[in-house]
Amino acid sequence: MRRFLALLFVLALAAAACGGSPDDNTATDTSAAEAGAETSEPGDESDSEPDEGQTVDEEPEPEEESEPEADPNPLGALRVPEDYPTIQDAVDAAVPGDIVLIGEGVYNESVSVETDNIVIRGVDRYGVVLDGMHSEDLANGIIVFANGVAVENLTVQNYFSNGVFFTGDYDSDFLLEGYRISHVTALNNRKYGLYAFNATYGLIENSYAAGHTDSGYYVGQCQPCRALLINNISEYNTLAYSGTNAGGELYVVNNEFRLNRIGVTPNTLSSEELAPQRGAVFAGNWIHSNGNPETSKGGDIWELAYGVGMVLPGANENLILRNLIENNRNGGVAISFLPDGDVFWQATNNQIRENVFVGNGIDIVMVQQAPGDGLGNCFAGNDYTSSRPADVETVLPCDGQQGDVSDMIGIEFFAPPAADENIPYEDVASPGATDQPGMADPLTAPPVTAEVIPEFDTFDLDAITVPAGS
Amino acid sequence: MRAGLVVVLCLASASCAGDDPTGLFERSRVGPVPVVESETLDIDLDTLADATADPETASPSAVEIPTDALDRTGLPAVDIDIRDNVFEQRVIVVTAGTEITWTNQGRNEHNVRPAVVGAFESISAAALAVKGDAASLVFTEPGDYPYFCSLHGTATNGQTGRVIVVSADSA
Repeated sequence: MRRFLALLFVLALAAAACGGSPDDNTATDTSAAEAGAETSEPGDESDSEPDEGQTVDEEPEPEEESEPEADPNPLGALRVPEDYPTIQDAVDAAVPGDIVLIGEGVYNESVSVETDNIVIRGVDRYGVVLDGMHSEDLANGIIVFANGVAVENLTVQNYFSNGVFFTGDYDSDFLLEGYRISHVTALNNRKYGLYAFNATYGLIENSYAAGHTDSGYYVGQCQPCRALLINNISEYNTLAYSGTNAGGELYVVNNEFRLNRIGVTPNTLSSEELAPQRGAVFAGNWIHSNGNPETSKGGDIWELAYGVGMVLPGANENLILRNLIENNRNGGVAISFLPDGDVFWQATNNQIRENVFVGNGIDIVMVQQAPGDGLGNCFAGNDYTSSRPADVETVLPCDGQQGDVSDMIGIEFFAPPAADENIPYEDVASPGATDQPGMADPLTAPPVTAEVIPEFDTFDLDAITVPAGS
Repeated sequence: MRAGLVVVLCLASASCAGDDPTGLFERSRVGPVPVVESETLDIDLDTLADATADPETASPSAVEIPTDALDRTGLPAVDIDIRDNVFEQRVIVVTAGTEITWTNQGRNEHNVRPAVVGAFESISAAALAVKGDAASLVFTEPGDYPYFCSLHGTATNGQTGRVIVVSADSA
């Protein structure tokens, strides 16, 4: 994983994608102009070098100095609307390696991407808005069927289905390889904000999602996923993060999942392939204040977990490490089976280690899945005050024999909210949306596609620390 | 030309194989054991292709029937299950007049839209919003009817399907 993080760091530098603000665009223009001037200097100097025997008098009069004109398109981008009237037109014209640069404006489009290895970038995270107007004819802001595509620095909102959607095609054995979402804001899309399905080698970073009837971030049907979600915020969604049948080199680290109806839910469902879910790592996240009634009510199945920071329904072999799990209305972490038609997916062999629990309804909950059997789930090194069964680290230790777990709790633990606690998704607030930084230099940062497939190996867990919180 | 077509009924999909991706856990059995049964049907693809041809031109190559098409001819009603995000019976061949019912077996909502605008009436997402929702269409005219879910695909990519309708005389 060190190599992977190192690569991400290199990518971040190359894309200059960390920090900054929309205001940085002004500085970028100046830099571009200066760069152009510097390029012309060596030739100028060489031309002005007097030939041997030449007299000063013979030197031609210097031309009047003029400011070099800034290149209006230093990236050689396919610009919208300057070169193409719509984003779709520019995307259709792009070839691998191209960048589509979207100018400020509101675009009522649903963009479909079928070309590998291109970058789709907005010039301003807030000023470039793809808006679906809640129309079924505009289902997805951007749907990507190609490998190696990056989407960055823009807003997608009000789509009938999803904001940004990367998807392989299971039935025809197309597994999408390589995707990146950076500095994207997803607001009030009907289903998911940022969505990767049957896709691998992914990076979702520095993004924000709010107001969705399912999850702000969704990674589904991948094994191994080989994906990293890092430095994202999810709030005011039904679910902060959902990962159905998604695992294997899947790392969800250093994110803030707050004020959702439910927090983080790796889960198993037979509605997708590759069940059961297994093998993801959730580390260094701040998971807090979930159980927010000012959200849209999703499906009834998720209402069972209302107010829980992290619920593992039918999830397996996950590592929950050094998260700060705080002030979640009903529970901090709950391990549970998931009823799925005729199948009860059990949650097994999850490790909950070294997390800090503060102010949750109950910090740790084991829902009884099999009488007297913890099913390999274990707890160690956590800072917590309440659990069912009591003293959970003693009765379900990660090193040692299982004790008496008869005090596990029934599914009735979960307390669904009143039926009227439901905000139409169109009206759900997104209070944190205005505080998110855009790319520092979107007009000049070289395009970095997602075709570079990071080599995943063992994650460096030692580098992850418990977040400080507020 | 005769081709053997395989119909696979996945009663449960539970892939438990594979190495521990994190290297942190001992493996154990989780979830139900997959149960799969299959059957092989024989179908005369040339006959079906002829049967979809425009009677005016009678061109046998009017519709190219893929080898993975499922033969559902001769049945008064046919079901297509929708999961996330796929039409399980992706390409089917039916007899004109057959009622086709799409049933949402997934967690996501889906819709059914013709790839060729106006080829048939769309089924909206509202009709297939949650698991168990079902909606039907009857195809009375022979022909090729590609379709897609616009929430998870386009006319040519992603969640797509195809109904090939043959005349009752030739089925």
